[in-house]
Amino acid sequence: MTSVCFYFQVHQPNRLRHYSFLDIGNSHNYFDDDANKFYLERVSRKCYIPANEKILDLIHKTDGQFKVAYSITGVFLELLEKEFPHVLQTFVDLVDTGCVEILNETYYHSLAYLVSKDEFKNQVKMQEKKIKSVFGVTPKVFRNTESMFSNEIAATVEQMGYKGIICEGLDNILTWRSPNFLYYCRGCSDMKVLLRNYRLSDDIGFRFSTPGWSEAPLTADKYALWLASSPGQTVNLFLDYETFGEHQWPETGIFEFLSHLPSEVLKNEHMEFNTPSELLKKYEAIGEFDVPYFASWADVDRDLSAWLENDMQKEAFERIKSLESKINQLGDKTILDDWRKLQTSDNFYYMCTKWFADGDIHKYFNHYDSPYDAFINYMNVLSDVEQRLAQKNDAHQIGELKTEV
Amino acid sequence: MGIRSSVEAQQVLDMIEDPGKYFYTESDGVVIRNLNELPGALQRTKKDVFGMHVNEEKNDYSCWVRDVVGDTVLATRLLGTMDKSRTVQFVKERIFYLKKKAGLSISQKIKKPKKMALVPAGSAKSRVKTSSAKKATVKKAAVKKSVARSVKKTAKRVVKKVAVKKAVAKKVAVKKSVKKPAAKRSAVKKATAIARKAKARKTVKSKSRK
Repeated sequence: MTSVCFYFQVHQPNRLRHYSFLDIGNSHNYFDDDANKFYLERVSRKCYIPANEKILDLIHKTDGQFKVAYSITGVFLELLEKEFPHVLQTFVDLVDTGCVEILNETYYHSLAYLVSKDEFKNQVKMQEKKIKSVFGVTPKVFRNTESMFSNEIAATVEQMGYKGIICEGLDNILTWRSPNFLYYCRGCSDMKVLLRNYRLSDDIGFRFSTPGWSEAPLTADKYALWLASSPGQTVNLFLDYETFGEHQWPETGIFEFLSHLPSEVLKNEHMEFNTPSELLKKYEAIGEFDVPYFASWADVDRDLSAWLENDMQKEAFERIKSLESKINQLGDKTILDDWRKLQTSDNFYYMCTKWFADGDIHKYFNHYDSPYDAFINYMNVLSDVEQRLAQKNDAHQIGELKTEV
Repeated sequence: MGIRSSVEAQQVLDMIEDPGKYFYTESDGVVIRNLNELPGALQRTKKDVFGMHVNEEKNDYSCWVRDVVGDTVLATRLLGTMDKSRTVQFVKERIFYLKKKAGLSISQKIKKPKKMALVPAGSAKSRVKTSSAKKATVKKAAVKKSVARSVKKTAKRVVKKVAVKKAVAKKVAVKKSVKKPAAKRSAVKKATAIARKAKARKTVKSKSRK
């Protein structure tokens, strides 16, 4: 039997509002609620609602043979709860079928592991609680922000009780091996690594509507044939959920493709759909996957360069990182929440200056005119957070002195 | 470790049972299941895909041959080139050598390479052999020698016979060449004698008429 494992990443960032130098010290409202609501409404209308309906329908039509997994960030769930609870309900309905697994990640879709291990663990635990409260399930498989992975991250995640972790099928690590197998990670005792088959995933995610692609138009029967002829234990297709309807518009035929794919796959007797947890139970790991550095699924480099390459990104990250001890000491929940929202990977992605191979994709996700605008805006916000921290610390110290007196 | 015995050579050539250890080139979907399939797959692999596996930083084919196939000699040799055709040649040569070592018939597809052995005859690796293997090779050598001797003897005999035959034929030829002028002479003598006799008869007849 060969498995097909669909996993979708669901996330919308809290976009920062235009925050000028003059706002520092005067306004602590950093986030553009209107824009966030506008984007969320648009993506819900174009993607989440029709795709959820389609997947629910496919689960019923195939008598539960079609299975998928989601990773939904805490900040996204917060936004849905606040603005579009009916959209959130469609996700809950999917999970209630028993054919949908929810994976865990960082609550803020953040670079928390690079801030500190403690901060990372706190955000993972927050997300666990959120998933439990919204869906009533406890995740067993972990997927870090943007599939950031290293031996060290895997070991930390294993210590937190997870049985599996998702990673990009990195060619330079795999060398002659296939991503269609489960591997064990160096430094871990029991945890298995699920690798993304990026070629087949990107056929849907990127190339589906690319003009001039030699395989266009990609039909469900053709794609099912590719899946059926793929050797190995499992073909892991990990995608941004927004692929359906938002990145690939409905006019491209992406929903028709999704509608027909399960039945075409299930025509092959040796194929079935499985969730990540099912894969962990079903298959043994065949070899070691050793990633001594930080890797990710972003861009052609598959490293951290999308977020932490240029000086602006590094400076911004170092500054937010330096606030950790002060913020934890203070214990102010509002500042803590703002600080964590500022760790969201998208904020650093907007500052990226790689305008070559991946330029188009970066532009697509960027609402700033330039990476420099993104940097200036972010640093202004950060300056205000620092001021607030200083003020609160002073007030806190004065309060302590008063009580002592 | 080089290949020491026919069993080891056979093991290197055998099909790899675990699909997790096949060589996968994901970009073009080629799957290589044993060493025998490697040259054909390499020839089908496009240059850019080959370049993804073989470049200044790494040689995936060499790693696979070393870690999975278990042939360090070939793995080391592959490390020395980044050229596709040279890689194919090295692998073909090695397969030819291994098949010979394993006592297998060489497939028609794999042509006989110019250079035969990767391990030179006098190298340290070829000298290192087990005692049983030594005995077997000594026996084989003795048999070979005796066969060679008998072949030589028979060859000598044949050569002698041929030489004798030639000598006899020569003598006969010489005799013939000697006899022919004598016969000619006697025939001429006979003819002249007959002619004389005829003349004499004619003169006698004419005298009598007169």
